[in-house]
Amino acid sequence: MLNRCTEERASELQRRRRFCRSAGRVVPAVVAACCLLIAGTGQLAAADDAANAQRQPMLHLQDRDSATGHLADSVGPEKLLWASPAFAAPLEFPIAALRTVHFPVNANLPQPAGEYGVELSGGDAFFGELLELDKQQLVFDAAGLGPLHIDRSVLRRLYRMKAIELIFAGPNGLDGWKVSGSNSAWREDRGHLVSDEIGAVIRRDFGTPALARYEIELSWKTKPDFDLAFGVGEDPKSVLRAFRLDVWDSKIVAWRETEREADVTALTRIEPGPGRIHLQIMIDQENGRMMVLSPFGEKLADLRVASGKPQVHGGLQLTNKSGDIRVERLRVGRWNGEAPHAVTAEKARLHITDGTVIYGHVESFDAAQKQFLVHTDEGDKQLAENQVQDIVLAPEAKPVDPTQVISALFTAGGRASGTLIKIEQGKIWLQSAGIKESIAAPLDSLYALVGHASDQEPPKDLPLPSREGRLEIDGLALRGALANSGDGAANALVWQPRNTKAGSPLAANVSGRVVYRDRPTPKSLVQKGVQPARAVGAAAAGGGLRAGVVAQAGAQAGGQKAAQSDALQPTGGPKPKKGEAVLHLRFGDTIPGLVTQIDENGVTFKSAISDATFIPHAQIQAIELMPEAKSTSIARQKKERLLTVPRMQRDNPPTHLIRSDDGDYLRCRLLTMNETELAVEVRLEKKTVPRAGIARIIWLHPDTAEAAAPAAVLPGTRVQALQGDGNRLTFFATRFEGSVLSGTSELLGNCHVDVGQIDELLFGTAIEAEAASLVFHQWQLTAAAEPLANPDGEGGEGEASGLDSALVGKQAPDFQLDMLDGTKFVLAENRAHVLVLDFWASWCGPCRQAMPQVDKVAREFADQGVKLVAVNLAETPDQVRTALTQLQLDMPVALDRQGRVAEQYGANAIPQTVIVGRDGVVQRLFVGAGNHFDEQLRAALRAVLTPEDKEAK
Amino acid sequence: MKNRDEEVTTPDATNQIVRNPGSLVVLAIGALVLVLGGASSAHAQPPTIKIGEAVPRDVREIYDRGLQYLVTSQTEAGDWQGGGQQGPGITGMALMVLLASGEDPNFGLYANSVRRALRNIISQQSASTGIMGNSMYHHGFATLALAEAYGTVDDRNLWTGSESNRRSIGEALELAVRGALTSQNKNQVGGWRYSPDSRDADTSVSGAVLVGLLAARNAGIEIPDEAIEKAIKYYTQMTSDAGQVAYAGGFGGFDESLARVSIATLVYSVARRKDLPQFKATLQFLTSRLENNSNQYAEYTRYYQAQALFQGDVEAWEKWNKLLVRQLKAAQAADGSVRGQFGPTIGTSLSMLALAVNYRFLPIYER
Repeated sequence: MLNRCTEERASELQRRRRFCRSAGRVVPAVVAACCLLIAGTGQLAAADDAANAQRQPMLHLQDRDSATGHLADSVGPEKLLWASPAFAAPLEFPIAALRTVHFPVNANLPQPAGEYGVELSGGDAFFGELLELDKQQLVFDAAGLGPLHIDRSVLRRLYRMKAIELIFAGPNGLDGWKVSGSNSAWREDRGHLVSDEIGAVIRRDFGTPALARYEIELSWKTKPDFDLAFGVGEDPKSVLRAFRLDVWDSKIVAWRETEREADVTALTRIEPGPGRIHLQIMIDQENGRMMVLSPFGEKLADLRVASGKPQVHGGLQLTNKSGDIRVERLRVGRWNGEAPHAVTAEKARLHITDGTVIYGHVESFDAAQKQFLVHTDEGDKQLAENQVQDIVLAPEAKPVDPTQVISALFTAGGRASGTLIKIEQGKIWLQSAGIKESIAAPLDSLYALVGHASDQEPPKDLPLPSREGRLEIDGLALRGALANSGDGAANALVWQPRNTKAGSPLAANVSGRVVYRDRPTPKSLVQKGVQPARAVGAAAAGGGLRAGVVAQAGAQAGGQKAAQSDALQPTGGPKPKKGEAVLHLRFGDTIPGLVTQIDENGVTFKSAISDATFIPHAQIQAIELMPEAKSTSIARQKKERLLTVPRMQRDNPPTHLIRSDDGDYLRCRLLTMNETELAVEVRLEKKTVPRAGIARIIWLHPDTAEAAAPAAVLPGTRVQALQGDGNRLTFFATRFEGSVLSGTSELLGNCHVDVGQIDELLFGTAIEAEAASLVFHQWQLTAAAEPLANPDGEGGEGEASGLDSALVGKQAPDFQLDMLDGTKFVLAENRAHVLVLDFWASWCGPCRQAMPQVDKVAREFADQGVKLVAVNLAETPDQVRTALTQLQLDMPVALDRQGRVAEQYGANAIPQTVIVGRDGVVQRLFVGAGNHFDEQLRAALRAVLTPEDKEAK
Repeated sequence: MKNRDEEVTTPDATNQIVRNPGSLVVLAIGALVLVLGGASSAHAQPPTIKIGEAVPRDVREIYDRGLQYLVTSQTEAGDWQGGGQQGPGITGMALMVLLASGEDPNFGLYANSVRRALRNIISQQSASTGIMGNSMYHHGFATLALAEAYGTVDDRNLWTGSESNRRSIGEALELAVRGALTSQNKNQVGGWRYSPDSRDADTSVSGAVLVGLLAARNAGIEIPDEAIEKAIKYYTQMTSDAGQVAYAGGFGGFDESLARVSIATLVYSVARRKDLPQFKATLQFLTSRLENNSNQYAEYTRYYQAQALFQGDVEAWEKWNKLLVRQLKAAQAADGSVRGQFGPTIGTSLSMLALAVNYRFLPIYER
């Protein structure tokens, strides 16, 4: 309950409290010890939760649009129904538009189950049991799918599965990864690893063997510039010698360079804008080989670069050199040394477990005898099942119509492709060429559904119902257009994505925006390689209204720009007539008009563009009484000072800033304004200011982040149209027809917005979030720093050992001081005693609190040779005597008139109590004292006193 | 902490370190402890309507709503138990809100509430010691309430049944004064602390009792001058040159407790000791901090701040009062209560009493 500091908090205190340093001989400024309670922070957990919440299926379309949601039931081969939480009804996409559906995957992936793996000509694969094999077909009991009759014509390979082992499937978040660089260098999003920081490195050791296979899917928003090294160890040199995927100019390449040789193969060109790659990589570290294949088996690179001293490392390292990168998928497994899908024609053959190869056709399998019958050039052979490792059946390629095909990728490995029959009750039914049965795969056994139409021409564009824009909602980006809502629609915003035939109304309370024209990226940030956050992006759009913010963003980025413009007015928007003011509303809308009066309720005005004549204070952000007045620049320091509330005004902060026409600011509480003058209250004094000299009034709302609610809630969907000139119009939209969104504003009455004329349309809480980036919101009051306090007096309750100070264990600095009683005290002459030095001053509350305790404890130990010396800091003997009288204490006091001894003992915070042993060594040092300081001191003295001392008693 | 009475059941304190821009760093403790007590029953009596100056509409509205809250939350037994603390001191605070409303306490709207509260307070008074409640905080505030009611409330018919302790208001007040003086005489520093038998004192409890005594003196009860002088001397010893007021005697140091500075200003004023340099210092301290609330005990602080400023510097009070009205308007709940650190009864009562300075109906508010 009382004031003190215990040692356990001392280090924290060192960092947090502000000391008055001893000021030498004048008045030594010493700080009474205080104790702070430090609250823990728990923000990381929240981020994790958010990441988990976002682990939901994600639809990626051919045009790089995407949406979270889930597959809804559908029937037929040509469409998918995607139910997104952002929409009131599922969206219907043509199969041709499908790129992938990614399903969330657990960290612990199931392993492929069964004795055999089978690969089909199109690249499909199943795992399970071999039931029958004859000249016509394979009967295969596929794990999780049941028996499949597979025509021989599509059979490519049959192998006994020993080592198709997944070592890792993910990335599933940052756990287990080593991140170098700043804490934010890499972040986790939907389980993906994301970075837009230059030079951000992430590494993980999978313990992969010399032969390893990887499947990796990377994407980027702006441009990729990364370096992915396979088979790396702790030694940085291993990275330099590793096989790697890299970005050279506008190509992604596979390469390796060793001391002996080097090779490089370009894999793909990088197109501007967002993109992705999906690759399979096989690495043979011992023989120096790297194969890169498309996910469907096309060989893109086959490098053989040997090293003089082959080494096997089990790690992977990804460096984001610049741009941005997102690791969406990573699978690491053992590799048997064979390319999984060799596309070059191969001869049929059998790999025998002893390593030999027998060329020939397997005719059949005798399940009873567990034998394969093989037809070779040398005649038929029978091979026992357990002799066989791998059977390459070498079928003729039999292409299927890719536009009709999608592939289901199983989390346990394997793949099934075919024509979609239906999606129903959590299962997908596919008809695969060459397989008699339809394949019914539970969606929760998949990690992805992949459309193949990307290989083909893009789907033919269907006409859009209105101007094309990009719908952006959290977890969703879909290009498309607003469609007619009709009257009485649940939501006036009906979105029809590209390539779809019908739209779906947005769900109620969804927040987001439709972007019709992208905002330019602020240059300074791009140069730094920083991905602009939305708020900064918002700040950067166009001039006028946001110019101030841009200046500030620049100042923050560069740390140099000391002044910024205080301009408010958008260059466009409804123009005020001569003599008119411009009202800036909380959400960025502007209204030109005549302001007739301001009273305690709000602003009364007349405007040609508004039916309303009154706006409550909560809705107003600023009024420009002289829109024609020039903006001036305001020094950052000056602005900071203007916005810092002194402690004396802490509980009555100003509510308005008033700027004169020549740029002076006054902070105050605006009480009223009429045609001629403003009544303001400055520090509780009422003052009158002529209106003629006032250029603008800015409202300092207490918390601009929590933007005011709309003045009224009207029917419809609340939207804000952002016009090209920076002006905003916020209203409740009730209808979209043709190209016009109509509705009502609580302030302006009926509104009509042609989407052909706007840059963005915001809806939901995005309006508030956007408002927070507006220039007015930069006018934020901050409270001056409060003196540190110990609000509940609990500080220092913990154990204090007095052992933490650096002085402990060192020789106590010797000193000589006059005592209050006129004698002299010399430390070195007191070796006979265990000394307790109590540094104090009469004005120090905690010292006065502690002294009786210290005195009492010292008396208890007096017969064991403990001697107390209260070292007073820089006070007169009279002051000391008065204090001792008040405290009713009689103790030896040494007068440290210059504060030198305190300095020697590092007593920049008092009370400080030091125990010096008979050996002249500092044994304990306590800063601060508290309720139980007597006990702490007692315990310390007991510990310090030797057995002989105790016997003395 | 050794200077704590055993009777104290809910100790609480704040420690602060303050760094002045110059060199001095001061630190102190503030503590306010209200101790709960029981309750029993009573009945009510006569008034004098005083005409106030024009009172702003906001003040009237806030006050009326607070008053309604208190009237409706009073128990049949006359006390308040609606959450938070209870006892004769709290009943006294709420009673003063009723008395300060300007309604005729004998025949007006709240006459019945007034009588019930008075009976409740008196019934809890110890016949042997005169002490009301289980802490001198209660005793102080209950004494003040009795003093404010004395001469205003007609107590000829206060008691109707066969209740025990059927004292008149005057008798109860005299007895209460005697209890306070006896307690002071036992006290080595001339103040009071939680227990009537304490030997040490603090400036918070002492304020409650001393203001009660001063009000009783103003009401015509005889108080020896030396008792007041002794208490005032205690306050002067606890007042720093800069106007801060320490909490507990002996040690404690100073902080920026606006409550204690206000208490000191008030007792100097009501004791007619505005001549003291300490009065000037505390008043100066207050008037230079008109825009600060207390972080702790906000309602308790406002209650004293209002009276201290009003007594010390009417112009400063007028400024401060504007802020008070704004803040109370924001703080008042829909049911008219002001939730404070010690529950809605204390929070509402002390807030309304701070506001009641606008009416100036209570004798203690007279300048």
